Amino acid sequence: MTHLRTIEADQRSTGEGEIQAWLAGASRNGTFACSDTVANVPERFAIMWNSNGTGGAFPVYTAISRAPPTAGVANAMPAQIRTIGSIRLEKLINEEKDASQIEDDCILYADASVRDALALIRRFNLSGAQNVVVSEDGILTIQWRKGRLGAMMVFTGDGNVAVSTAAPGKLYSQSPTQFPVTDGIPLGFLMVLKQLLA
Amino acid sequence: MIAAGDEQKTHHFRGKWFGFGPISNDEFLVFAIFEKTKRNGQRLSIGSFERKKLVDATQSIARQTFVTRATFRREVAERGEASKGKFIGISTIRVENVREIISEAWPLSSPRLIRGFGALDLVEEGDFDGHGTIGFLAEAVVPKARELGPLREFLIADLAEKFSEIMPLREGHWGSILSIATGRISTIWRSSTV
Repeated sequence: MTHLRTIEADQRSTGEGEIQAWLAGASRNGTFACSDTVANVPERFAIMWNSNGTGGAFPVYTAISRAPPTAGVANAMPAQIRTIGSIRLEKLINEEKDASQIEDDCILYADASVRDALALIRRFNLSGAQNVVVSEDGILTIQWRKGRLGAMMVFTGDGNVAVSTAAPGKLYSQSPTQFPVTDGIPLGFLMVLKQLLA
Repeated sequence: MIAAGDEQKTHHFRGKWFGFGPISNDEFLVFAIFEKTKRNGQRLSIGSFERKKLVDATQSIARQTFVTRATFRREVAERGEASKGKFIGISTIRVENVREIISEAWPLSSPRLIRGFGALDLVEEGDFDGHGTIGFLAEAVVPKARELGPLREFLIADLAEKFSEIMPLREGHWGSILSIATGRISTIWRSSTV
């Protein structure tokens, strides 16, 4: 954060024909009526900002085109079009988290679980889940079901996700796998999801 | 949570001469479903159970052989409606199916055989004698509860799948005077021989 100065009035710069001269730097030594205000400016731009507010090497156009993304969010968002179903699932997760009674010492885990889940949902455009549960200790579970077939993803908030599938004669707890959220989802699991959503 | 050996002991608050003793594998357990109970259509879902109650082994169920339909309606359905919404129906499970839910693939770093759930004949003051509970066995939640978190969720999903479809209260084989009397005699006989 840095302090900027807002130009309130400048008699010389309002006259016809003087604007060009002012822009050319003729008025740099003039007196301005200023008031302090506060704005969020990235530090690397702030250091380029002239203290008089009229000069310096602040490259306006460059600054706009290079505006830094919101930390964290952009990294999780791929350059692809989100489906409505995926956005709905994201909304469902947030609603479930808000409605859940999470123990005080597990709130950070719950936040991390939701963050991890949203990152994967956005990356893979996941949608169509039947059940979303956030437990008292902050573990987020997403389940897809169709008849006796099912698939589950469990986020514990430690950067990992555990997945498993169920079918007649095969339980979820029989052969789960776990991997970092930053990795891709195993192809086999994605195929089951595709089958469930077909 | 249920420790090793807990399932073989009685948990009636009045002592071993009361109630119906430890739950056997061939019994059926009844779970009541209310308006606020989360479910997948006609089946239970992973959201139907409270994690804390499963961890504490206080998830209430009724032992169908030892409860009459009228008792269940009065003690469970009507009582529960005050806080859980309108009574919808029941779902049943054979105890053997509860106890056979196991995992041999967790934790991934050092997989071991983990049994998921157990059933206790827990009757506390104010409960009816055919009351019981289900919950996690200690091996499914300790020593590292967080590390076992995903497994716990998979186990709950398996438990939900093993329960029957939701059905009206009038269905199922409810206890009769005869089955309840037989259960009591059997409990007294067992207690006197142990």
